[in-house]
Amino acid sequence: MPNAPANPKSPPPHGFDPGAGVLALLLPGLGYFALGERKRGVLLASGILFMVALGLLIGGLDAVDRVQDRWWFLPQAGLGPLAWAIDWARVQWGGSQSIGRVNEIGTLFVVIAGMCNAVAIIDCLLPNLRDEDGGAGS
Amino acid sequence: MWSSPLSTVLAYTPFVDPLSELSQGVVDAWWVTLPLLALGTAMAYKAVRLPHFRGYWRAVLVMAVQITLAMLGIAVLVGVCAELVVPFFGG
Repeated sequence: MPNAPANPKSPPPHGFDPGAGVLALLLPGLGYFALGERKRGVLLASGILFMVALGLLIGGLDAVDRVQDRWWFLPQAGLGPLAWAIDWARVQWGGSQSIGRVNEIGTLFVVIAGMCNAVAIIDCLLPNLRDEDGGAGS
Repeated sequence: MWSSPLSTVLAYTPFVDPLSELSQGVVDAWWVTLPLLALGTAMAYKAVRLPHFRGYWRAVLVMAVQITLAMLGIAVLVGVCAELVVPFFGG
């Protein structure tokens, strides 16, 4: 049987897991918990929340501004509801407006965190696109 | 308006106010944040990419150093271009 799959128990090559994808969007790392990969979820969440916390520490709540920094908010929205929650907190609690380099660096930290979470969301949505060794495809 | 260091510290709320409210020195030391940004990026990337987590922190450290060195290299290249190459051609 030349066309038979090498391992009949292996998942189909183009699997789709919308549940894990939605959970990954709700909270960084949660999608991997749904896939049974708790350690991956904890490590991912640690990295992303580390960057978000540093971004807020440097730039304050003004590092996320859905109205004035609309284009920067697009990649930040990869964090899911967390990005909207920070923007909501900025509106509620205010805080001083950050300007110049401090604002740029704070915004950049949260942008990269959002983009990293977007990668993780795609990985949770399409877990079967991973390499044979179990890591995300290169 | 003059304000004492203590009142500045008391007026500052971490994660709400920008760090420059506490100290203007932060603005000058912005480059210190580069290795931290590289570290966070490497933590998130390696968490997705690695098939297993033996040697995770070592892989994270290596990637963070690579990112930092690459950024420094690009900064040196841009500096050389701006200070030497462009003036040489009459910029």
